[in-house]
Amino acid sequence: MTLPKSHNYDPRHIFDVMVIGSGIAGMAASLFAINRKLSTVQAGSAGGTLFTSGLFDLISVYPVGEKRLWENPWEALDAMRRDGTSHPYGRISNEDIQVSFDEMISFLGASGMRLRFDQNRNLKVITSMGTIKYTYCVPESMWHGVEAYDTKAPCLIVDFKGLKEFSARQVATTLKGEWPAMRPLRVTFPGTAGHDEIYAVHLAQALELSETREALARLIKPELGDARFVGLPAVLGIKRTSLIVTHLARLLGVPVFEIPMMPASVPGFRLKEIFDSELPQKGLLRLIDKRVVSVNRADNGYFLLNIGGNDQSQIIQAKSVILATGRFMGKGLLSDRKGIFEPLFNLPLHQPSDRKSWHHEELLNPAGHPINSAGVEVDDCFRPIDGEGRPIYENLFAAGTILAHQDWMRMKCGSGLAIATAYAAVNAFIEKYMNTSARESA
Amino acid sequence: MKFAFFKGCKIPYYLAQYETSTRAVMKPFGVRLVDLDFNCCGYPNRDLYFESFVYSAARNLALAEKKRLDIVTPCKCCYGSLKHAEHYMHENEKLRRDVNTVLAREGLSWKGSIKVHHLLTVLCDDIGLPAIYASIVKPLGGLNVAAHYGCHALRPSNVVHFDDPLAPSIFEDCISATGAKPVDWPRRLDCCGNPLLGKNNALSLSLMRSKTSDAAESGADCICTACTYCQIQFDAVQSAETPEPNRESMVPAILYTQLLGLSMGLPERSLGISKNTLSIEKLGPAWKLLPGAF
Amino acid sequence: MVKTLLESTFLFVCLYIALGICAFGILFRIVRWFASDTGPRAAVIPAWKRVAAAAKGFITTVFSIRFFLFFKVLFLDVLLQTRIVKTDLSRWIMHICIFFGFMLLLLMHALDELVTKKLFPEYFSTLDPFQLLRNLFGLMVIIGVAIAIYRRVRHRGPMLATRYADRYAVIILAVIMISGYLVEASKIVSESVFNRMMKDFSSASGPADEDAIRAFWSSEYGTVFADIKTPITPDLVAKGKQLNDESCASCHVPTKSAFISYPVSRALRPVAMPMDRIKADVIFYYIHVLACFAGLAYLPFSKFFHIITDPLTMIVNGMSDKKKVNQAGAMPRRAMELDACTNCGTCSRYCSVAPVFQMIGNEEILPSRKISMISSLCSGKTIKADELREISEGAFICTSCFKCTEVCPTGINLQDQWFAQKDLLAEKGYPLPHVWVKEFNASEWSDRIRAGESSRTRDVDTIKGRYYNLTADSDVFAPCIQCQTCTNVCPVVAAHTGRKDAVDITPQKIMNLLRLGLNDLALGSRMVWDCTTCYQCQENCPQGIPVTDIIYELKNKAYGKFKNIDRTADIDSKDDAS
Repeated sequence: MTLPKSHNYDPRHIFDVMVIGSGIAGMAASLFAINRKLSTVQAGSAGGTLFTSGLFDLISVYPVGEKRLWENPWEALDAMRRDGTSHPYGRISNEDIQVSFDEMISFLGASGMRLRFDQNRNLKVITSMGTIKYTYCVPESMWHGVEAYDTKAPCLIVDFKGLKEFSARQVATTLKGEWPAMRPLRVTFPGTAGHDEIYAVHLAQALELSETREALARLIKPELGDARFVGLPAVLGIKRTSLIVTHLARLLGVPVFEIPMMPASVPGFRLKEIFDSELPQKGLLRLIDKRVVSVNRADNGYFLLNIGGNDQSQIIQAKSVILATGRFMGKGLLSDRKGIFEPLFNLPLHQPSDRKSWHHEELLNPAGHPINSAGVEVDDCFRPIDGEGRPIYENLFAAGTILAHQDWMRMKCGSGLAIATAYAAVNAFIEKYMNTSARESA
Repeated sequence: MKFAFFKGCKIPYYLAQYETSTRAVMKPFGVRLVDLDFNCCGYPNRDLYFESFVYSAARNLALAEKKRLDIVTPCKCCYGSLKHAEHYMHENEKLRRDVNTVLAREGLSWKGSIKVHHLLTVLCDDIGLPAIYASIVKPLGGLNVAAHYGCHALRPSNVVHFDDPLAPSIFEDCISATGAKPVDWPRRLDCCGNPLLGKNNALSLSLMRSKTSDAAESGADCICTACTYCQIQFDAVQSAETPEPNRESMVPAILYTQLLGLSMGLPERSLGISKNTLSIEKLGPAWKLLPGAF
Repeated sequence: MVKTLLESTFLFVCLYIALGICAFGILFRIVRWFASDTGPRAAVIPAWKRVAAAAKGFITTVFSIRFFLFFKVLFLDVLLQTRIVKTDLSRWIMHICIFFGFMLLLLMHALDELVTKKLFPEYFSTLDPFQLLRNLFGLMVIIGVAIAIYRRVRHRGPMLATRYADRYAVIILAVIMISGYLVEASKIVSESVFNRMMKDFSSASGPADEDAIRAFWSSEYGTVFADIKTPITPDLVAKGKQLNDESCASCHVPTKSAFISYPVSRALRPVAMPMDRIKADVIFYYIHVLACFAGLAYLPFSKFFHIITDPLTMIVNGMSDKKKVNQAGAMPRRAMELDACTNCGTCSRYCSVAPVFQMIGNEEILPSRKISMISSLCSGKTIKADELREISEGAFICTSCFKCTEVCPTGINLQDQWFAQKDLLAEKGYPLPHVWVKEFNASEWSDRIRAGESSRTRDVDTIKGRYYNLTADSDVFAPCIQCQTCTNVCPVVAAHTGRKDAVDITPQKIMNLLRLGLNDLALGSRMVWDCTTCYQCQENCPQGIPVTDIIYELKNKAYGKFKNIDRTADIDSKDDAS
């Protein structure tokens, strides 16, 4: 009964942590904070986790320039540390990274999204383009796809008429060489006859009904042939995915798996649904679609955050802030003619000296561009630092892709970075700040 | 507690049981509901004329302001509409000035000094769930209820300030209080289809059916509403528009005030459950939980 | 005592003509109830079916338990007019004054030979209480008329429009009442009337007695004599009183009890002589009686027809279920109700969407205006397209709240009238905008907008939002990254209701059109007009774009443009294409 809810919370309450940002890093930071019984509030746009693919990368490419792929992510991390890069991973031990993953995975599992991984191996996942992607951890609904690809067993890939983002033929054509036993099949999704264009989420919603699943299975079953797996675009429900996968597998008599699609895709909606519904139940106050307009600091060092709504602005008091606003997409970093800046705290940034040196001359330079490694520099406690390496505020932390010295898109380390740095930031806050201030007040 | 009671256009003639049951459940909590000469909330006009929508709503706000009463409405569309007008009047100074000029013709003005509440927020926040739990004498254990949130109270959240728009819980909390079990159903936040009734009936009914099939699949005995239009859609419209072979698949609807009233042991005379078109099997003919049903 | 209608053949002929016209008029109007097409599907419901339905309704009601409602309606609604007092006390006082004043005058005074004399054998118009009551009832009518005029002046405007019929009603009542008082007053002062009475009834035995009576009448009863020879002394008056008591008082009480006419007669004293010479009392009498006959003859065609239609309407509607309507039986009932409306404006005062009228100024929104428009709509008159559009706007802006029906003092089932009007307009090609917009697809509408704009010289962007311009402000929609979240969460796009109805342009494509400046292409799209306004797109947009608000604004703008476009016209672009 005392859960803070957005329809009734006490505006005088002082929160332990305010998380700014609603991507994976923001969500992870909120989760870790709540799990540690910190009173937590989070602000950010509604769709921060929508653009995730549903796959959880740790790292698979290093160094970026060589495009070297790693079968074992931990070895990649070790190599990176040996080379002495300033990548944020360098400030966290492998054990802590694994523990942070475990905590996230157990939360998602308990909320209905079971994840699968192999301790020391990146998994190979077929994408909607027919390419193979290395990732550390996949939703259980995609697990049989990994198995099928590993064994190259006979497999039927199904697509739906009108679903433009996914073509079974494209997948089959691309993979024909290495996987001859894979066949494409196109069916009309039940109830969509006559429609030129259909949308993934709508199919997912329709599949929540058993009659739709039965109708779909009736279309696929006659075409099964020798197939020992059936692959479908990732549209198997939003809330009841595991039930739907099991039901379809039972109806078809063979294991069924999902193939991830380009974001924003159904797995992103699933993740969003889980974070949006489970975290508030655990006690998070979520301020949805509200941005922090400005920040002040009280005499005692607490942050006073002005949350802008259109007609009601409110002030949130928090003992600390975890900044997880991302880079340009999440509007964590903005740019003007002079360069890049961080709009909320105006933090000093690691960035190329002038606009001209943002990018290499060739657009597709495999090493990436200097701008891709720009961001906030932090100390070992993930506190943003000034030019002399001193933390700017002892109670301001940063996590996720806003951090400098990493190129997550090319290194394939986005979700791992988000989860691990959020974990480190929350723990650092408890250790350095909560305990110090507790000692001081005692 | 005293509120101006905003019934909206449809309750008096189409859903009188919503008014009687609301009054009946509010009375034991000492809530007084006052009638004022309100007009249409403005929602139906928003499609065509923005200004007249704002003015209609603002006039209601001004009427309540004159009596220094907060407004409570049992209808989610009216709630959304009044909140929207409030929002625009706060935000847009020119609009505020112009609307106030027209209001001044009948001696009214809008200053923004009163609040608009929905029935559920009054129950949950003003009266408080503990008081509601304490008032239950006949818990409805065994009844599986699908809470239908209703769009216009829930979204857009930065205007209506009702509950978490993506993961609301207020309705389930209120249902749990009656002893009934709220079911989790994927489409709980979707539209009932009523706004399109008369404009595109096929579409309106299709939206309604996707919800009722989902509720049925999720094991709900009934859909619970706290909105005039949603209730009309799931009750009268569903009954009138479902042809014979499919009538078995209908999911009846009940107003939250009726559900609460039942669990508070209030008489049928004020709850008017018999006036609902569709009846809930588990409640039996006397709207008492049949002991053998569970 | 004056003989009935002065025994004048002319007046009798007039009376019978008036009665004839009145009877014929009533019959004519009743027949018309069954012939008017006051609802949809009129062609398939011939008049005999309407008669049959009405008869069946009548019979089933008479033989049902509901028949007892009849007495309740008759007593409370018809006689005590409680429906009026519920909404407006001053109107009730006005109406009760006129109704009871006039009805009692009719029975007690106009039909005295037929009614009063039968009930009170000693009746004499110049005896009390009859003389006093006549003045009292007349006063009631005059007070009522005065309140009516005051109300019409005080509340004048579209909510209470005063038309010819209202003016006529007030004027004819005023003429009848004032002429009546003038007849009485001019008789009081008239010497020749006095002389006639003396001749007929007096037992005075000599000039001295006559002088005494004259003296008494002159000083006490107000008669004005050309010359009284002897001076009027108290003794003479006392003697006159005695004689008066003996021979006159049995059928003539003091004129002072005619408490209106007597003061009027005092005012007339200075001109009493010339008036007497021209027989003013007879002239006034003619005016009075002819005005009554005129009112009688014109009754079926005037507002006063409501004294017949209103009780009927109250009884019919008071005894039937207003929500369950049988179309065949409803047609004549609706036609009767159109005749029953007295244009009192109560419905408009309580109308739930009257504030919309305040903003957009379309009078067709007001129920009091709508009911008179329905009359012309049903009469088969050709109505111009512009006008039909305005009328249809009034029809669909109504929220069907039944409030007007609740407050209508006559008990007209106004809500049913509006339902019928909506259907009738839909038959004529004027349904809800959401329906007629779909006559064309988005690009056809865009062609039509362009054709419309080139044919008119300018006036294109008169419909610019005065307060918000989301669809023209690139800061609002430019952040769209085309991620399709809006489309993915849209229940309307998800609903599959057949190819014809399928959504043409998804929300994220609308954002794209706005970015390209092709707003016209979005205006007539199914997405915009089938939007269920559930705000899923807006709430879920990761970029915080107010998608639903944009769709609302597009609808507003589209309606502003489309409503002025002739939907039946062939447009150039089609010709070009061929």
